[in-house]
Amino acid sequence: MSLILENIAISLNGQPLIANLSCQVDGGDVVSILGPSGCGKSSLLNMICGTLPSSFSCSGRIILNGKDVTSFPPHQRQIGLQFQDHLLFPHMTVGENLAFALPRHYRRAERAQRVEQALADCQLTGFAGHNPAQLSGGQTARISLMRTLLSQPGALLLDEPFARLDATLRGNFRRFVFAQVRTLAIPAVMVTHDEQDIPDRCRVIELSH
Amino acid sequence: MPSRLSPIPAETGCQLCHLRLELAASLILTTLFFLPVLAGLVSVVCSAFHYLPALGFHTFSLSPWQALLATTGLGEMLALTVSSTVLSTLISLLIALGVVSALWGTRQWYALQRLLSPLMAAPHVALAFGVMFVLMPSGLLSRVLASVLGWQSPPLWQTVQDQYGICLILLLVMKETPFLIFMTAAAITRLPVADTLRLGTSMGFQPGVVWLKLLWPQLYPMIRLPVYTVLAFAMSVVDVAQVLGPANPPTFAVQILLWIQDPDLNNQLRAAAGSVLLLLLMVAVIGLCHLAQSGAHRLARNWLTNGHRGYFSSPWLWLARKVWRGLLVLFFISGGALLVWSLVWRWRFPSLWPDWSWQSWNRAYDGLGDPISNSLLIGMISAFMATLLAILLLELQQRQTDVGIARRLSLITGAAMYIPLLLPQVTFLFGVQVLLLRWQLDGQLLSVIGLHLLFVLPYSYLSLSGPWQHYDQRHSLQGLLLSRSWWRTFVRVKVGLLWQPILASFALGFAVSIGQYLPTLLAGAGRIETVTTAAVGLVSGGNRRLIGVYGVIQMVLPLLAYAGVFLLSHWTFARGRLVRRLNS
Repeated sequence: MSLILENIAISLNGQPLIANLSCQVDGGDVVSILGPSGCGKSSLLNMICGTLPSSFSCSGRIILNGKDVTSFPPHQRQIGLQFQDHLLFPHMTVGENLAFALPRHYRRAERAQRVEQALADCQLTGFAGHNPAQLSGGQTARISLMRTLLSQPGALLLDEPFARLDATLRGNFRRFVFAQVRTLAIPAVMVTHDEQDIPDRCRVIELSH
Repeated sequence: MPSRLSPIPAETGCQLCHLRLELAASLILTTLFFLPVLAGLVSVVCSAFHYLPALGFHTFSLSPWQALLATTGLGEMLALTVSSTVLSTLISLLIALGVVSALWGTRQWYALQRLLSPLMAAPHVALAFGVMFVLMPSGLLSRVLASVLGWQSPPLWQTVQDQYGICLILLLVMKETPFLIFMTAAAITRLPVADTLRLGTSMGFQPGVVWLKLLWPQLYPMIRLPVYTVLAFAMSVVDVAQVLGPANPPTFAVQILLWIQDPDLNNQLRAAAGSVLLLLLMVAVIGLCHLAQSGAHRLARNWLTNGHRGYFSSPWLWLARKVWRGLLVLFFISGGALLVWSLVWRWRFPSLWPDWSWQSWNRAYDGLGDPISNSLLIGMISAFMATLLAILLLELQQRQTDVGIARRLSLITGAAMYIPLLLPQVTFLFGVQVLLLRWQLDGQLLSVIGLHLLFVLPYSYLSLSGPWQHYDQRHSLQGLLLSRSWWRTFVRVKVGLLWQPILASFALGFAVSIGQYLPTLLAGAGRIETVTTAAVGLVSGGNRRLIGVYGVIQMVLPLLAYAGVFLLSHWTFARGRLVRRLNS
């Protein structure tokens, strides 16, 4: 599995934000994109998942597992997204939030079993019937990541995923995320402005103005 | 100075008693507002049990109910009422949610929001006349068809006043959809729509499915009360139902009004019993909606989590857009039809081009003075008072330093404001009329204004409560520190900042007042005629040209108010010159 970015360039109103960015991310690897706010990090993620506003212009190719997805609409790209505010759906229980993301082809019994397994994987067994509002910040973050992974994305984008967590939770959740990425062997791209978030021996692309 | 960000750290004893006084004042105002509604309800229930001293009925008995149940066609009328109410509300809700889903975040979204105020300001009676001119057998639609198909005489279709109430439903949908879109657009700002769409599509869901599964279930609870007010309006609407609804049997609310206007006094009692029945029907329908919602919730659980991501690129989003465009076209053609008919001298059937004349306007001129001046007077005064009272109520709430008390106060006031909108108008207005009759207050301008306030104040309050909540208190604190005068800070800083919403609330109140039919009719006792009551009175006469004239005037009055407000909110006098306001 791999995600290849080829000659990516993004500009806003004729002002170039990112010029000629290329890289290849293999399964299980995390590439970090580091830079101050306003340098075009979020625009890059938006371009990769296909939600760049029309006021931006962009060029280059995004290739996921050998398939050029550049012109695909967002829902056909199979690229998962993890936000800094983890956005559990408040009208569904924790278990339903997870089941929501599962692909359609699993039947009822298997859906329930996979949800249970996901809860166990993030040490939240027994939380299926809980209201998302009852969870702590760290629990919300873990459920949100499990939900993204259950949708079986071909690649994972992390948009400052640790920004809203306090220092102790941060370390735990960071280790959890990178362990999951390695286990599932999917390519991941992380955007951050904090160098501490970057895992060891990990490639870093620094963006500047 | 009491303010939530008070510069004085500790409350002194005197401040505390100030706050108590303000709390009491706020509660008293709310009670005063609520009292007529309650009195009306009590009096109509008493009348329904044969106790109506004003007309000489002094004993309790069940005879009004027996008379009511013996009415021929009662079941038909009730079925018609329930079906037109539920269908029109459901269709409006679906179109409103569909339009919001289809247009959110596009360039048309902002155009749509600018369009809503004038659409909501159009009085529904005038709109009903316009729709009648388009759809009736010799209307615009059949003339266009005739010119294509070569018809020589009007078709024998019954498009207006059809027996199933389809035309009535169409009009209610046209009238209520903009209101529901408006309320949804206000609610949706509290949801993380952009992120939810990004997240949902990144999991492989079609955007249309993201709306259905993730956003609608969160939106509906936020607009539930407005939906219920739409139900209540549709169930008790009288004026529109007289124009477009079936005549024999009519909807139940119209039948109640016919009984009220009947010279036979026993029918007054029957009307009271009918009003109570209508109220019970309303409660039953809202109860059923509640049950249906929780039932749908349970059924939907499996559908929500079955992982189905949608096969097609959401054809219903496209459909919602088309239906909305169709409604808009009908809306504007109807407005145009009013103007055309007011200028017609003679218009033979298949012809597409009438003989024009100012004759109708000349003829109507003498009779128009009183209704127009009454409408203006009642509308201006009630809108002004409503805006003032709404500001007072909101300000009293915001000055409470205790967050808990402030929240409870705003809950109580908000609930009280919704009550006149949630009850069938006929029910408590009939009760109020009986009381006015008893105290000989009917037929007075003040009584009419008072009853209008019952419906104008809620809208003013609801439209101002958002801006009041979003107001940054630090502006007032800064003003207070600089000017050291609470009053000057309030006038110069707060009112100055919120000038636009205040004016908009005034225009909305004025439009609501212009559209009122039953309050004017029942409190005016036939002595006070507004443009709206005069226009509805023309229906039975069937003079289309005159109807056109009154329809145009009805449409124009609120638009004038909106135009005036637009000017006032963008321009101001400074040093004897007209200049643009800074924050316009």
